[in-house]
Amino acid sequence: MTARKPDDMIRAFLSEGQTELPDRAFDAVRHDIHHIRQRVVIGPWTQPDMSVFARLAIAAVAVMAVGLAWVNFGPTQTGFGTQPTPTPSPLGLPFGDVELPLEPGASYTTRDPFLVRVTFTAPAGWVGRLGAEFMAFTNPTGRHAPAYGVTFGIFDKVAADPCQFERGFKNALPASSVDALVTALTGVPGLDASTPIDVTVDGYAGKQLTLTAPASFDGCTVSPTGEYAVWQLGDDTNNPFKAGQRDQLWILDVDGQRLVIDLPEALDQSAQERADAQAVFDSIQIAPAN
Amino acid sequence: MHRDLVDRAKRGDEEAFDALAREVGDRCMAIACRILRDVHLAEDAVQASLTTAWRELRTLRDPDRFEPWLHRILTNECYAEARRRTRWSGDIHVLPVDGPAEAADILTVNDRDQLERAFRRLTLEQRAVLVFHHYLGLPLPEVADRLGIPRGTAKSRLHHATAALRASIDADARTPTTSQERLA
Repeated sequence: MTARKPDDMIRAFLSEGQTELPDRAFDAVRHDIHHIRQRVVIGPWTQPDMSVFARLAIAAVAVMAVGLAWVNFGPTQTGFGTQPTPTPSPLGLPFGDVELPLEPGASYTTRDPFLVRVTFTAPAGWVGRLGAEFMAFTNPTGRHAPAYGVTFGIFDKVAADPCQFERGFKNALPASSVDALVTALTGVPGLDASTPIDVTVDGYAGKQLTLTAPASFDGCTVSPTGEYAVWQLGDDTNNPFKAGQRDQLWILDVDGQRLVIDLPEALDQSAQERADAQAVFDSIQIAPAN
Repeated sequence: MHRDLVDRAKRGDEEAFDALAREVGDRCMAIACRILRDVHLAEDAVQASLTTAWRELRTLRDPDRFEPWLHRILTNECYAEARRRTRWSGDIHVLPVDGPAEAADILTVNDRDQLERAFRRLTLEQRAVLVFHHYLGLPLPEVADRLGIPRGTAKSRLHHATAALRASIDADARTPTTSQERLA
């Protein structure tokens, strides 16, 4: 035994096991993708064929724009005495296809293309991502939104019945109306909705309510990807609930733009995760995107 | 090698994506099986990751990075799948032993049992680092890149996971092994 190297044994151990995906899985994927639209991507940085020069040109223009803005609108030194300590600007929430680690204690903001500026302080061990103009989220590493963390969403489409996915979604219009979305969400069959109450978050008025999913989805016809979809984001991305999941929602009117802040409470959420999510919420500052 | 298929799939070509899935699916299954130690969960995770990859494909900037990008999605799906299923802790489907012949020369039944139990005690994140490093043979910086974690974190996870497995091997070494087990 001692003559054998541990690393060789670990490699041998890992070399054992199944290495083929059954045909039924390929068939299922083929079936699923036929019913799933690819997400639309916004922004020139997503173009793979963009030349290095084009990228450099965009970067140079961006740097010049920031420089000009600084010259024109930056702080000016007008006299003697100590300068006030500058408050660090919030970092832009990473935009892209994968969530990235956030610096603990740093402020992050939902930059373009997200339609509202939401700034928050990142807890230790959290990741975040800006998905599109209507979706941004932050969550503990390995605990994925929308079931964990805090989600900032902008949407109109609410499920006619999450237990019958084929019934589709209804538009909660007008898109700027807080009441329209509250009415749509509290009317979703199968969900237990609290009575909406008037709230103000960072100066913006709206409603707060709690939605609780049923303890089991037995007998439901969920989405082709197995999701109990309660609402849908702009690119038809489902926002699913887990069985028994309870979400606190703040639906706010940010100068005519409806914003939903979602704090989910999954049954297996730890006390620390809950406290971190609350800390994120407590740190939120909101501003219109302009 | 996937570039043409990725480009076509990004434009919505389902046939191209199917071909792409068949090129990478087995490797994904091997990774998922080793992280999850359950063939059914692994199959579900691979299926979910391929579906996610289709939906998110247009966000992939460099088609040549398709497989690393997919592996990161796959790993996240493995984590989610493991935590989603109650059978994770109860109804474990033991992996069939169909690996290369040389593994049988190195490992006894007792070794496998010890390693299996030690491996199951690791966190999913530690398992993923082990699989990408020891099974796929990737250097640590590449492992960190694929898993979307800092290099220091990858190094730390590998260290702790390897130490735990080595401890199980050492414990096994202190236990007398019967000749029957050796022959198995």
